[in-house]
Amino acid sequence: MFLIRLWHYLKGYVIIIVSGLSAEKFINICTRRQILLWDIERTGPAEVTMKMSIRAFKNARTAARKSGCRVRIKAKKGLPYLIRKYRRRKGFVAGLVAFALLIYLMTSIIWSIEITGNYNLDEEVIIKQLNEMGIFRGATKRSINPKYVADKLMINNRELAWTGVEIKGTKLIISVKEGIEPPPVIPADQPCNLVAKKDGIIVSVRAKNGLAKVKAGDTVKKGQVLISGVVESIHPEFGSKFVHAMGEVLARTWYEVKKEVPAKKINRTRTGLEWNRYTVYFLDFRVRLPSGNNPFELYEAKTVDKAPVIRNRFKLPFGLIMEKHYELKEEEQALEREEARELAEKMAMDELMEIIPKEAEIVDRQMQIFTSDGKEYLLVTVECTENIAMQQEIGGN
Amino acid sequence: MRRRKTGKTPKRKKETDTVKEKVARMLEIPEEVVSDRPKITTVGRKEVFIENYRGIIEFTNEIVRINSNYGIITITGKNMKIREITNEDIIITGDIDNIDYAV
Repeated sequence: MFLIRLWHYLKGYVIIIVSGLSAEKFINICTRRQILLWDIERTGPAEVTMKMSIRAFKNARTAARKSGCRVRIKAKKGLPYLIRKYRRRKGFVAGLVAFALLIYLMTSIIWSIEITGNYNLDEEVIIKQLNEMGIFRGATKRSINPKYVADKLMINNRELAWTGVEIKGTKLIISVKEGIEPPPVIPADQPCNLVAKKDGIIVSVRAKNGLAKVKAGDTVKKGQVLISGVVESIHPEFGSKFVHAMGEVLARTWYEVKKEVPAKKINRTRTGLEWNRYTVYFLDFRVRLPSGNNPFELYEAKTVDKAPVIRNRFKLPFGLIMEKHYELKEEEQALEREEARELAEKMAMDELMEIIPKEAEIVDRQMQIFTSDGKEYLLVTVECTENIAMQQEIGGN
Repeated sequence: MRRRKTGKTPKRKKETDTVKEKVARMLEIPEEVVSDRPKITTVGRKEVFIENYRGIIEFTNEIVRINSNYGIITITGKNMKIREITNEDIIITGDIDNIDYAV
C-alpha cells in the first residue's frame, strides 16, 4: 500500500471534486477509459471527492461533459508540482547542487592519516614515504591504490612484517606489524663457544654439542666459557676439533634493588579549577584563540579534539582543539611504617620486573631493611634460575 | 467487443454453466478466470473487494450499489469509501453491515 502511495506521489496526482447528480456515471466512464481512481468519498449530497493521476485528468474533462458533472481541482499533490514550484528559485537549486557537489568533493579526499602498530619505526618516516608516493592530507582517495602503497611500504621498510592500508571514509588507516629482528646468530656450521651471559651459580649443564667446562655448583663470572667448542682428543697427537657448541646451562642468578622507604607521600588532587585554551585548525594551520595565560602553577593538561566526525567514518579536516588545564594541589601525607614499606616493596618489585628477563624463573625473594645516614632502606633480592648460555665465536687461539 | 451500457440494469442471466465454463472445469482452470461471474472477497468488516463488476449505480456513505452480470450487489454500512476503482475491480472500505443481491 505504501509503495502505491509513493508511486502516486512521485507521479503526481490531483484531488478533484465532482459535483452533479450523477457522479456515479462519471466514475464509470473514467473506469471504462482505464483511469485509476482512488479514495473516492462522498462529501455532499451532490458532491464526490476523489483522487486521480495528472495524466488522467486531461481525459476526465470529456468524462465530465458526458456525465453532466462539474469537475474542479481541490489540490495538486506530488513531486512534479513540487519541482515546478522550486524550479523558479534558481538560487535554491544552485545551492542544492553546490551542496551535493561539496559533500561529494569533501568526502572523496583523504583528510586524516592514521598509523597504528609501529613501535620502533617512526611515524614521521612513514609519513615522509607516503608523501613521496603522493599521499598527503588533501590527496584524493582515487589516487591511492592501497595494495601498491602497502607493497611499497613493505619494500622500503625491512622491519615491517605486515602492512595493511585501508581507506575508511576520509581516513587513511595504515596498520603495520613490526617483525622482531632476529638476534645475530652464528651459523650452525661455524664453530663457537657458549659463554656466561652473567654471573651465577651453575645448577645444571646440558651440553648437546661441545665440551662442558663447568659443572653444577660452580660459580661462574660473566664471559666465562661454559661449553667449549674446542674438543680436544684424548690422544694429544690428534690435536683438537672445532665444533658449534650447543646446550643449555641453567644457573642461579641474583638481582637486587635498593629503595628508600619513604616517610611521606605526595598526593595530587584536582582543586576543581579549570582553564581552557582553544585552538581552531584546518589541516595543519592552527590558530590559537586568545584566552590569556595559564593561571596555574601546578596543573594537569588534557587535549580534546572536537573535530566533526560523520558517522565515525568521515573526519573533516577542520575542528577545535580544547586544551583543558586542571589545577592540582599537593598534599603531603605522613605514612605509617607498614604502609611505607609496602610502597617501597612495590616500587622495588616493579623495577625488578623490568630487569629480570622474561624467561627467568623466580625461585626466591628476600627483603632486608637497613638504616644508613638516618634513612631507612629496603633491599629486595630476587633469586632466579635461567639459561645463561650465550654464543660466542672462538677467538684468537 | 460488446459495448456495455452503464446506468441501466442489464438483463439478469440465469446461473447456468456456459460452454466456456464447462471447458474450463474440464481443463481444471480456475473458473473465475473465464467466467463473468462476480467474485466478492471480504476482509473482516472493513473491506470488500469485488472483481468482475460492471459499474457502480449508486454511491453514498451509507449504501453502495454495484452492477454485475448476475444482479445488483448492494452493500450497506457506514462511512463507506471507494479506496480504489479500476476497470476490473473495486475496493470498498468502511463499517460494512450487509452485502446482498437485491432483486
